[in-house]
Amino acid sequence: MHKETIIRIENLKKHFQVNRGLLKEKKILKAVDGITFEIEKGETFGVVGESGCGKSTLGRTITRLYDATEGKIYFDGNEITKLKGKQLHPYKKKMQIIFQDPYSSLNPSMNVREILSEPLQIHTYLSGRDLELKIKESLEIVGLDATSVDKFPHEFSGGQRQRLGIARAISVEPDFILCDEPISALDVSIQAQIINKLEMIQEESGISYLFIAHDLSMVKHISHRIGVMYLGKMVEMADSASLYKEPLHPYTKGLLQSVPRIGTDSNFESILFGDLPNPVDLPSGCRFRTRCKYAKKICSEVEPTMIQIAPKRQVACHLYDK
Amino acid sequence: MKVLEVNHLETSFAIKKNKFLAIRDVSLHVDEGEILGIVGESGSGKSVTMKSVVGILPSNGQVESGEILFRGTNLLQIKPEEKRALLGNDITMIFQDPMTALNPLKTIGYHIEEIIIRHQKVDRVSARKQAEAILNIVEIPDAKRRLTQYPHEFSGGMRQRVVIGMALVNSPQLLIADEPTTALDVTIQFQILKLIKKLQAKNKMAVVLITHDLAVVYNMCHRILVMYGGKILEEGTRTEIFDNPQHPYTLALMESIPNLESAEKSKLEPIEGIAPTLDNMPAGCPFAPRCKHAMAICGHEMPTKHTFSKTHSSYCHLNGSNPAHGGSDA
Repeated sequence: MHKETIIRIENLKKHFQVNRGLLKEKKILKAVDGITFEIEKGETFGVVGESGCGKSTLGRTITRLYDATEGKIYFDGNEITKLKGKQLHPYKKKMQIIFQDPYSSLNPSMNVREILSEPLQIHTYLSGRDLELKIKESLEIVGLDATSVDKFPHEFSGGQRQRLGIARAISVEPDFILCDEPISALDVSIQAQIINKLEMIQEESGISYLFIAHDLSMVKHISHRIGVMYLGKMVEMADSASLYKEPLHPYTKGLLQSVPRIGTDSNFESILFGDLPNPVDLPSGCRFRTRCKYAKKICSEVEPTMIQIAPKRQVACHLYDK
Repeated sequence: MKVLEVNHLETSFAIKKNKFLAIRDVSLHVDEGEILGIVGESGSGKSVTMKSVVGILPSNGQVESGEILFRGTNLLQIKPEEKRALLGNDITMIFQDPMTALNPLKTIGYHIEEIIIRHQKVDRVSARKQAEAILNIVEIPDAKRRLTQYPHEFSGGMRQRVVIGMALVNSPQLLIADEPTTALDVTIQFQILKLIKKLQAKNKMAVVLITHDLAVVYNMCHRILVMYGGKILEEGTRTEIFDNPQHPYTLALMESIPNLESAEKSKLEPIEGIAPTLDNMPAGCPFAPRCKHAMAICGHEMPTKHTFSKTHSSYCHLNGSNPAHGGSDA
């Protein structure tokens, strides 16, 4: 079973320069520091990690909102890492984004028609009646009333606004959507509505998602494969069932232990301690070693590389060195 | 021993010259050494209930009727100075966002010492000693140096620890925690919950934990209230609520979240529609417009209390004969 790849990134890096005062030395924040993976057509790839691990930067670099510092991004077999302007334009249509905050990602002075027309006018030749029809069709897919085209964002609830965000993303018929914490701002009872909509759209159109979130149970539910990120690096990648059943990396184990569950009493003991270290002063060797119970001497000296454990299972940890 | 008892509380908000009841006939109690969980979505009234108790409603909010008894004293009838002596001392509250609870211009030490000096007759030196001790208790390393630092020098999880320290330094009898971990990462949430549970057990404190996260409630609380549209829909012990939920809303909430344990993928059951707003509250049961089992009567008549056990009750016209009820696997 070999499926086609929609997105492939190779050793992708995004570094930011952090200026701390005029005369102080300039430091580099390695938000994304050498990540390689691919997303198949029709697949949902989930990325989890604590705030500050670089998961949003990763998504934004892949969708070319940020320029990569190093590495390569392929979309449907074509390298798009350095494309600019007109050359990039067709790819921007194929890659859409749904943002976390449905309040700030919709222009409050535009009505629904204007919000949904904008991407269509930029990326398609639709106009007049066809444009109107397309807008109504997109609204129907996400379960919003077609009569709401003259309303403004403030007239909608949080969940409805997020549906508008989805309608805007799918209207230009993209092949790939970056979902950056699309449900974090929503109530529990609304989250399932949005997740089911995303799943339904995928079943019908074969679209691929990069799903970024910190809610591990939702990520497990929606993703086919999951990558666990820590301070700019992927520490483990696996299909979602194996990752939750048998996490390999100590960080993944710690993350999963931290999730409260219904039906199992937490003994409130975790192998994970402390906070994320300062990302501009990374620990030597393995970045996770300062919080890792199993850290050995080698962990402070050599940075572990991704090891293939089984098909589609990779982990970067010295515990699994052969 | 009841630490807090609220009877038939009604709280209203004035919006554009109209008054809307945000809390309708809410009664609850918390015993010594007990953690009570209040679960609900935004707008369910869970925060407003506890803000009414403490008396920190927004300027357009007002308690209309009911009584709020703290160890037998009605908080609605005591003088402001008597109330001030209780707050921050016997009753304390922590909020979702630790940054807004801390003054960016004052050191962490100042924050904690201020509370100690205000309520205990001690000087600054011994207040500093107590402040240092409480930072140790909330597991902030290097306490002596940390006391001289400012809030921005702390991470989000550390700030929440400081706020918990401030809430606990005068050994309160009642701690109200309003979504204390919602803004935090799951790893930090874990540490904070652990800390609250440990200190609660040690001090035999009564705790009210307000949250929207059912899994947090399961791991923290002894008893649970489920609120929706300003009303209590169901209440019971942890076992009663999770093993034998009776209200369709409680059941629907549990079905709408994914199960981390299950190996195969199952479809989520969302609750269709949106929660009612204050100016658009249904006449009958507030959940009726979204309820799969709504009957004609639900639209115009609020159900009365139906009791299943000494601790378990719900407000639903189905009175426990919920057709969707599948038993303990929910």
